[in-house]
Amino acid sequence: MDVLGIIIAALFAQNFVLVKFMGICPFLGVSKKPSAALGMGLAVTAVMVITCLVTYPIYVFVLLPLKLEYLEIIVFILIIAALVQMLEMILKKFSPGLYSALGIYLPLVTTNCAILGVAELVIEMTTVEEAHFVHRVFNTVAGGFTDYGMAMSLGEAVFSGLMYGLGFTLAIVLLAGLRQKVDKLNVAKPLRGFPMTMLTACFMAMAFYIFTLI
Amino acid sequence: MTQEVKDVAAETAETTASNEKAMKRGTVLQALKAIAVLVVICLVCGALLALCNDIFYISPEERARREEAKINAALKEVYPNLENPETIKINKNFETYGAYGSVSKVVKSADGAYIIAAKGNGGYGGVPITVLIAIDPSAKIVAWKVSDAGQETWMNLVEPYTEWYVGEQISTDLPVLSAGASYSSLALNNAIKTASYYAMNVLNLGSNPQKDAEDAIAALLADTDYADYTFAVNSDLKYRAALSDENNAMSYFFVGSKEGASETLDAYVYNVETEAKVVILKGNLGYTARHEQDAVIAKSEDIADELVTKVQDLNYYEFKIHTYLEDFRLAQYIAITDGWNTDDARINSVFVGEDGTYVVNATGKGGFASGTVTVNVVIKDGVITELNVESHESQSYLSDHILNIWDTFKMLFVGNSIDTKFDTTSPNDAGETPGHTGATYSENAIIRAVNYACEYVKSLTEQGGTN
Amino acid sequence: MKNRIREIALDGTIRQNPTFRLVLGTCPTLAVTTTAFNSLGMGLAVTFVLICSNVIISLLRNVIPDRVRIPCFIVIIATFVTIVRMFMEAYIPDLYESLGVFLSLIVVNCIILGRAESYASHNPVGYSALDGLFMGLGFTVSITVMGIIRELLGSASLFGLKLWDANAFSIPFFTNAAGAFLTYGLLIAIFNVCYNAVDRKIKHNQHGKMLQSVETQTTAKEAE
Repeated sequence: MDVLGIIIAALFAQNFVLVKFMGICPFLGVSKKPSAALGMGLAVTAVMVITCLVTYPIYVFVLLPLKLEYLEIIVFILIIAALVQMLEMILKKFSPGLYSALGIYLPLVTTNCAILGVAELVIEMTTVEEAHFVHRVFNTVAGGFTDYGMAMSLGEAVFSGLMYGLGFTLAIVLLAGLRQKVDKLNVAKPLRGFPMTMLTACFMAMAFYIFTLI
Repeated sequence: MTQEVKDVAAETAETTASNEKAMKRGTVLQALKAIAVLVVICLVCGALLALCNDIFYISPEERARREEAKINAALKEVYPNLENPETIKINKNFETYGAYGSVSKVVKSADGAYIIAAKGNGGYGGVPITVLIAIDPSAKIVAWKVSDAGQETWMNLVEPYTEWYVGEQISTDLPVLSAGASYSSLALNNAIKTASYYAMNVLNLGSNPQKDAEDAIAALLADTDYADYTFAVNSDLKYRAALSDENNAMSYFFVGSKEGASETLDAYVYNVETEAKVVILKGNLGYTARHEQDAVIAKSEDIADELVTKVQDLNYYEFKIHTYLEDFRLAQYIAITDGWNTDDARINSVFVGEDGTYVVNATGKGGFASGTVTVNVVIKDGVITELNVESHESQSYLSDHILNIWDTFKMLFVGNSIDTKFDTTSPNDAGETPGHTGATYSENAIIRAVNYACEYVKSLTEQGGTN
Repeated sequence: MKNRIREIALDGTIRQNPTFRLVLGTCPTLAVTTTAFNSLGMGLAVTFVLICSNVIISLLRNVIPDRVRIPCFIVIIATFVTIVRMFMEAYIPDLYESLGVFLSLIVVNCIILGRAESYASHNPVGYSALDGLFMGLGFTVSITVMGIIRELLGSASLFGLKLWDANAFSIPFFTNAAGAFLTYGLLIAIFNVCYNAVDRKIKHNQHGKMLQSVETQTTAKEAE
């Protein structure tokens, strides 16, 4: 498992928000206060980890053998919706402060591109030939994990989920910090609000671009 | 009055209770209904998708065809005149070019050009780069392209890098062109070297130095008893430098064999750029016959006798010494044929290194069941620097006891000056003296050998050098 | 009814333009607008899903109970997204490859769920379909415009046709992540400037007309 590679990719070089453009909506919406941003980021990370843990085995052991890959989107999104619902209930019970701080954004985690994005990312097959090999394997006797032609093992998938979530958290917290200052600036009226946020994000993306050159 | 109130209260309570029950039932029913609707929708959607899956089904053949098309598109980018691409099975003998890289795919175009996908090692972080290289029938590199995005440092290379190597003849000696991002340049160079090596030796493009070498060997052996031997390249290039001198650089090492014959031949090929010059020796000789002149079966003209002797010596002795003394360069070999033979020990041969190191092959006697132990004692500047067991006859204790702890045991000797006289141990000391193993007969044999070796070297230096 | 249709059209394309006014569906906007062709493809895919899901949800709006409406909407939307995906993989594989994971991510596109929630679940089928159509058109046109800008400036081509030598003049910055943010931000600003200017003018005209009618009324009254 290429731990360092996954870490650098997830946090910087392939940062979900600033490089792959996933999870922008909450990125724009929640990032007004760094504390709320941190809460959102950690909630997303938690959901990502559990999502990878659940969707990867379901894809490999249920959808692939039954040749039901086309149900992937429906199954994944239902799982994510259920997990977010559970997280909401847990937060309501154990941390009502955070629950109220996140407000409507918590249910929005379901529609966060990043969660579905990471779920799709970890089930990538390595090559088309190997994808067919997978079918053959299951039609006879299932072998070990690495025989399945998956690009990642379950451990790598869960670890990636964690790291990509932290990358998202990093970006969102940084932007919240910047927005606190930027929103107080006196800019031309048309640029106020979303355009200014976008410009800030532009500079952040430029900074993170350096990491893709490593 | 109170009774009425009580009745009304009781009635209200009853109605409230039944209302609550109804509500609860209602909520449960509602929840069930909600779940039922969700399930029905899921099923309907699932069925719809199953139907669409059949409608839009892409067969494995179609998928394979698309993959093929994608690969061909990539190939066409490298070599636009690609016609009827035909993938050729890779010759396993030349698939890997040492540590430089390996060939993963060879595609032939109808007009005689080849596109080779070669993986070059040594990129940043140890990640190899796969490069597609197009070579035309006249063995010129037409174009190349990095085929996977394993290295993002490609962005750092200065613009004209796409012009590198284009138009050059394929060769395993193309220089590394670097412009920042030196790891990638090295990997690219390795990939091109690998592809060149394969193209020259398998596809008969350009000069084929290996084929020239084989032809030279065949020519030399034509009139001998060994004419029908077949030769295979031993691609271990480790000793190439050792077997070269300023004028003759060694290029290949072949091993020749014939079915049914127990003898093998070692063929050393020099200077293949212009012409192949070969030295052919009989392989697997006992060491006594090593230096007989007829050990050399054939050699090309222009190869100096000194080089031949060096090859003979190095091939056998230096290679063996390298197993315990890597940097040893043999300068002189002394076979001890008379003298230096007592009841306790015997000196067999001495190897003198270019830096003055002595490797003394000595046999100590009087071991268990009158056996002997032969050791190689390495002495440099009057100090024992290494000790190696070469063989032991009827010393069954040796493997169990001493060899297991050899690294500790040899330290009893290593580091000591040759003036030290090591004491033999008595069987009663077994296990009590630190470092001694209990296999005292064998230990004594080794001690006697070491002592005798030290005496020999002392005598040499007292005489002021070797005879 | 004609008025209503006009309202829906204006809402979808301009007044509530999902990309520049509501700032919804930002993920595909930033990600696929590197080339105009990809933008167009994505826009049409989203439009298709939007229309179909609006229609179905509108049809089922009285059947789906409130408690499970979000999961039901999501399942319906996911179904259509999967259908679009299958169709593209079979017939337009190039577009399928370039859109990649963002095709699947249409299912979590805030626009679609938002419209389903706020319009289709309360309105009849015909209007829902039209709403989907115009919202989708608004989205498509917006991101295609952005795609054209980014492709022209970034790789000197338009819909894949190379217009001039990229080495002579092109700003690769625009095909990168940072360029996406910049273009998007500036386009939002420009769109809002134009929108506010036009809006003020319309309101000014309306105000003028209102004053005129009040005047005529008062003069008529005075005349009486």
